[in-house]
Amino acid sequence: MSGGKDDMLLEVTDLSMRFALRSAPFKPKRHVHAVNGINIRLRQGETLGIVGESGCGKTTLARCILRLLEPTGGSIKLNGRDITHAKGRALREARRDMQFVFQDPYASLDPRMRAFELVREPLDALTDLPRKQADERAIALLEKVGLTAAQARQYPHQFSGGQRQRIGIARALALNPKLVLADEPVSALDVSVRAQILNLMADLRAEFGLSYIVISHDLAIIEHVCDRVAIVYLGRIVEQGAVETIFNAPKHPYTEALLAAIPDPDPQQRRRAADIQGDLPNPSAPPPGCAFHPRCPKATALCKQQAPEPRMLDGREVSCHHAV
Amino acid sequence: MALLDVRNLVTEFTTPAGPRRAVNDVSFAVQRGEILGLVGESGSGKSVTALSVMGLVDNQVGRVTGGNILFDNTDLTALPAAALRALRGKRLSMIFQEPLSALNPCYTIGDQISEAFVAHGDSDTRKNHQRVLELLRLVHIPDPEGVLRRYPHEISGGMRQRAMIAMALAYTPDLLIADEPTTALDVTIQAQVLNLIDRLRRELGLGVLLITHDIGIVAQYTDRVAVMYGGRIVETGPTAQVFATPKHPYTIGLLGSVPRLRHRKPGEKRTRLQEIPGSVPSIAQVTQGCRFAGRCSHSMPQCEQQMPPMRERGPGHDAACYWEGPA
Repeated sequence: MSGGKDDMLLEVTDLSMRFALRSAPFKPKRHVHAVNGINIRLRQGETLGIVGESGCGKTTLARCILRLLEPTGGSIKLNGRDITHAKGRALREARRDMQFVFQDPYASLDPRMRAFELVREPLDALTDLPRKQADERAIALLEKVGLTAAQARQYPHQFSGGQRQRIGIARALALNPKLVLADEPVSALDVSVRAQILNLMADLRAEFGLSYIVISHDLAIIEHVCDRVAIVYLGRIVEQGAVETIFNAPKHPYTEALLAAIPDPDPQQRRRAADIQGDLPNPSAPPPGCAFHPRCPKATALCKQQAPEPRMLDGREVSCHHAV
Repeated sequence: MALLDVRNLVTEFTTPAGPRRAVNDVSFAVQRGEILGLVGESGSGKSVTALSVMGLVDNQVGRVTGGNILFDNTDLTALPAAALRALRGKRLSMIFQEPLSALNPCYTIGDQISEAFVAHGDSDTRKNHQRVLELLRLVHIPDPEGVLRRYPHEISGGMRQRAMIAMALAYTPDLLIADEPTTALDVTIQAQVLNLIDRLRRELGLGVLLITHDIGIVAQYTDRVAVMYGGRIVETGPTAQVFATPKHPYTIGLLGSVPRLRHRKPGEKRTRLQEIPGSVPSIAQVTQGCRFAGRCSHSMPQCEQQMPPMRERGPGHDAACYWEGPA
């Protein structure tokens, strides 16, 4: 990867998203810090995986980056332009460069639109391409993702889950974005179809020089498609760096626990996952100090009092007092 | 003698186009103390197989039309409803996929678990309370006294799934059917639940039918595996053997399409995942031959005409395919 500041695509600095919770009309508001002080750098053509369990804030993070939500703190720069609080025209401009692939291809496509109309919709919304050319481009994109021109005239219910996800991807690519965010892109698909979509994503990345941010709870999928990975626990990144570095030698106890909990698809490598105890804490009342300490086998008095700051260790960034 | 011996099971559903077989000539056995994995994708018939064994197929839409289900030498298909009810929840129990929809939101966890006792005629409230506490401790629920009084929405997903396992274990069943018991859970919680099922199998000698689509779970937790596709078992055998030398092209494709963690050496280029072209056929499509033929790279003319019978390919390892397998 070439260095230099100019190919920096996305810079997320100290990003926070706080939601207000009010349990009763006159009770004082409480807050949930869904995303808390997150830093991410993504270069052109790079792919980043965001991993974490449900409720850890990974989807909120994606929605902030896409500016479907306005963050309550920190900044987001896309191509060097600050879009943290962008509105109107500036925001529409920014959205051309970043698109979303949704998790559930059954819920995210309008059942009353034909495939090519679905792909044309972003073109109609954000460009002034004449209708005929927009149609042609939509059909070309559908062919690119492996559907036929005849299928372009069909409605979503006439496609299988994998084909629908192909439409979702074609739709995301319609505007030639630089960044594609995919939130659990294959978790709603059958196992035998997942490989088709993952391979397609890899091909498109090579062809268009795309950058991906892939959100998943499946570490094997992250390893397969991503260069770098960020492990999120309760709104904070606990470990971030190159996929191989982190997966081969995790430093944060949570990363270790996650990796150990994945059942290895090889019966020759039987090992019982050393299960970490307990559940994810309630995000509206996070434990003091390091949020992972109640479940952590290495926790000490220090962890209960002081949240660890991220530091560089063996080529990755890790937030743990005891990582060595 | 196998604890559960299912022979040539056929379950049909009524569709506007006529009856369709969701489970077609399925045979398998579960021994005591053994975990048999039933793997397949959505629509392969694995859940309907489980419901058929439990006698829970909704008779408005479908019913078991053929075969025998021998549970400890009793044929469940020939059993009157009342006799089946006496077995269910006592010697034969099931864990469902989504604990939130399988639990009743209006009753506390304690009430729902003791319902199992009441249903089988044990209505001593105080004694039941003690038994429920023991069950909750058995499945490692912290603070069992507190959880007992809570409603399903007040506890976490992992906790709910454990409460449901506790319910299934009310009478220490001989056979436990777990239908995707961890699909709704996070990986760290998944490991806790699966380790629990594995421990109970060892300590109480349960036979377990574990239904899943996760290849990793099959590899780590099952002794034997049966692979289902389009309502049929296409391959079955000891897990280690089926994974090492799969014989059916579908099994080969399924195992090859799963990305593996830390399989790549540092610096090594990533390889493409093996794809299975096409998608899973619906049961509405009727075929004479092998249902996988349309997606199979080894299909021959005879595959379209006649369903290949199960053939032995190794000790206890059978596959339903004409293809001789990789050289």
